[in-house]
Amino acid sequence: MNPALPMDSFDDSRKGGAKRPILYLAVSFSLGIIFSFHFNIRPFWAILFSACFAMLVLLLSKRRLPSHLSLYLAIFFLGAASYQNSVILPYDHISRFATEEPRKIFIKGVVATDPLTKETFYKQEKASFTVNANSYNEGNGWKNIEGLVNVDLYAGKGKTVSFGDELILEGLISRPASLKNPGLFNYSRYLEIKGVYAHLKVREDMVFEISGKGSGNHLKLAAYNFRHYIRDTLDKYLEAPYSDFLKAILIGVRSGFDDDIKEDFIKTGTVHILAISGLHVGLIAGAILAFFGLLRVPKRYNLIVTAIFLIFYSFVAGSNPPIIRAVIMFSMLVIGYLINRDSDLLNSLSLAALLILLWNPKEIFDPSFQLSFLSVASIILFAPKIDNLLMANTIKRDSVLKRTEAYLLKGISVSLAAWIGTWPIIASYFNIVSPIAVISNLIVIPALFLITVSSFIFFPLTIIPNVIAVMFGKYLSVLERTLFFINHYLALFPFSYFRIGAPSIELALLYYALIVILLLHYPIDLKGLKITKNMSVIFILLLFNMLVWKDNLNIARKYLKVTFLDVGHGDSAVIELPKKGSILIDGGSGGREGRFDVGKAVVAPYLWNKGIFTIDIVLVTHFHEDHLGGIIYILKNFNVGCVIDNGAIPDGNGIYDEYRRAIKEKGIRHVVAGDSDSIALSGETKIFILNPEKGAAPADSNENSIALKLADKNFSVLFCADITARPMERMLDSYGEFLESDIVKVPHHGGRLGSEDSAEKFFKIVSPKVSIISTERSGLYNIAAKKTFDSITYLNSKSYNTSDNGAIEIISDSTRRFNVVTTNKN
Amino acid sequence: MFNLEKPEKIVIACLVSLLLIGLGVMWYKKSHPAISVRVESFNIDSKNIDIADLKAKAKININEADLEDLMRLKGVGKVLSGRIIDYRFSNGPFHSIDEIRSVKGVGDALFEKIKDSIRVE
Repeated sequence: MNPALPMDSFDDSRKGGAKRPILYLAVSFSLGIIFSFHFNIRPFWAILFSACFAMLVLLLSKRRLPSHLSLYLAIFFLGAASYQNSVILPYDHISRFATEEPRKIFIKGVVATDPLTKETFYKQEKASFTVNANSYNEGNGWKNIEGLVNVDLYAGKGKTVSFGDELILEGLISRPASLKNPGLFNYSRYLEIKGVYAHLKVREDMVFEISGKGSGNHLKLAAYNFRHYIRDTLDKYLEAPYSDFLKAILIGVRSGFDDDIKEDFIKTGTVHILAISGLHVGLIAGAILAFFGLLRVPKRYNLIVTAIFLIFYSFVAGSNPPIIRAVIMFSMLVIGYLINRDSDLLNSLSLAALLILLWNPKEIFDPSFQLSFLSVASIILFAPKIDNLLMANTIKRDSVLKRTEAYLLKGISVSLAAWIGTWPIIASYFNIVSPIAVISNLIVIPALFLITVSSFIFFPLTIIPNVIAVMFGKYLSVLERTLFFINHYLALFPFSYFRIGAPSIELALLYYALIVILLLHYPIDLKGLKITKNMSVIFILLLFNMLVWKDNLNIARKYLKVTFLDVGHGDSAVIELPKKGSILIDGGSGGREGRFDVGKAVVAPYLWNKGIFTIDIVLVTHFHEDHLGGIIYILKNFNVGCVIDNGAIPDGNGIYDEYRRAIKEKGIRHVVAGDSDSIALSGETKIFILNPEKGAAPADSNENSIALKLADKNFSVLFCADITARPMERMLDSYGEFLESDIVKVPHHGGRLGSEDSAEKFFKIVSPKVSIISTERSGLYNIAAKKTFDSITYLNSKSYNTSDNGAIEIISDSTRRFNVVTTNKN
Repeated sequence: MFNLEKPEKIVIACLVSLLLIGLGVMWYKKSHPAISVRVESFNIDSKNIDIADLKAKAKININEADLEDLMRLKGVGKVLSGRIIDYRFSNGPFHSIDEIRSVKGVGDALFEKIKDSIRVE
């Protein structure tokens, strides 16, 4: 390490002249990766630049500033090159076969993860794991291949797959499926970060053979066996959700944990305890150190043993970036102790980041990487300062009360420090800000400590089945239950949390600039111009004001925007009106216990992300599950101006009952609409309801679903819900050319429309420039009836569908032109 | 952490309160509906659908149509569609619909049959 490195600008948290060479290297490397991601620099140039700057370092070695600058630039371009290297895949990589359209293939490979088995909704047994593929066969002999593929195996038939098994699999290979909506979590992109580009579905009737066993890493195999032991013991002695909570915090198995309890943790800003991170690793390290300390094992050996166990544990818990980070930092601490040097925390944190990024540069885009490093960095940098502000260090610890007070203040400063550093990132991923986190963490983390330590006593007890173990299991459940209970009430506190939109880049940068300013040494001397800290703070505050007031005063959003969300099979569209106001038409599927809820997972986050908390009109076209389901969550979690539906009263539709209950509870205005009703919106925009016929029997059916035209002077969209041939004929009769629209949402997910002649006639009159089909990839409805499709393409209309294009945004300014933006670019 | 002088104090206090007011306004706006919904009724004089216009819209543009589009024409099969595209490829776009007669295989009889279903743009 170069001892004469940087002009260290961070002040008083620096001790005894400790230098932080790695901090600057890690930051340069990370910036290089981000730069390379955004500007797609060619690997050749990145390497060339890196080499040139490396030479400059040697040439300029006598001059401090230029040589340092060149070093950082060399590392910067090294980061850029390593990112490009990680995204360019070799020719025989498995991603070559992974297209949107599934195709049949044989794959040979080795199981690379611990298989997760569960029963699907349709009572099928499904095992999920990742395979490191080595050859493939498409009917003309085995050929070499490389890369990871995620496998969903339905053909297990009693044979258990374990880590390290060699498999021969027949399956349907495709790109991993994912809903693609702007600004929202994209599962397939997340898998790409982890190096998985392909998905293989092995159906029940397909070939599946275990051709060999135990070719995996033995340490990993042992770790997974340990993990299974913990899992099975928990299942035996505890009930859900208590067993699931322990599985999450001890061995990193998070699937199956109760959604409502998890939501409470999100609201109180304590959800981080559900994912194993430095906190848990630290707890475990502390417990082991204390245990061997009691046995009077010399500290030196104690530390080494603990470090080795932690490495083993990182395999048990699934080696995510936060765990690896914690283990590296602990090892640095141990090494520092062994060679009698104080290790600087920020330096070891940076080393951990650098090592993880060298291994896989794409990890920097993983939210858990970002949150983990950011929170630890802000604790290291801020907690001492907040301690000073709270005067936590000046309390004389001469009584129990005083000592408690000191601990409490220290706790507050740690959790406040972590919160200060991470809330913009949390807001942009989860659209929530939880000020209560500062308090709730003071309760939840000690509780986590108590539960973890208790479980260390619990597991040895279970070696021989006995009453004490059972009793102890009950005790653990009670502890957890108390924690869930307290947490639930913390979330109910006024102002405990609120939803916010994703902060804009400008806002986030300003915020972090303010933080850095507070940390920097002042005054800065710029060639005689002295800048004080206060001047910088005033400057930043001015910019903040400009951003906020610009948004407040400039209410005139000039464009009309319609977004057809990617909700799988189902419909959901968001309309943002010019000037002000928003409308939601249908909410996708959901509202059923234990099944995917589009309202919660897609529609609500999408709206929150855009900063929409009030919906002026929620319009439900009809009461089928794929249109109404997601609406329930929306009604419960948003301010809704009014709800419009067709007034049908379906029998035995549980989701409908819940819908009516939600409307009543929130006191939302309920309007029943039918044909020839119109609604004036902001500006010149209007909604014209074209179906169902008013006064017709209000049966709930596709035929009676609400069709409407959204129109202003220059632009129109026809939403056809699930209408069939009969209403089409009727609409042709009563509205004729009025149906003509720029955009049409094709009825019934592009499926068959009854009479093909009326459909053809209908589309000819509508003569859309763009048609939208809202459908799921490999679903039942994917076979968009060829005739429907033809009658549209025949008219030179451009057709988009949500399964291939992801969410489709249509933006119309006040001219006749409009823009179509799709979320899935490739 | 700060050594504030009086004018600085005032400026910072003003800026912070302005910011808080701004955030308050923003919050108020986002938590209240922006439109008051009124339902009215509307009437459309539904004209009889103009069949001629409809047909015009449905005509196939022989300068842009691909193989499948062309095969939709009555009496035009795969081979002939291919020839029309080849012709377009070697001679450039059609200037009028009559020009399609220069394609080998399109006789007068066939042209009579398809001339109302094609257009040139």
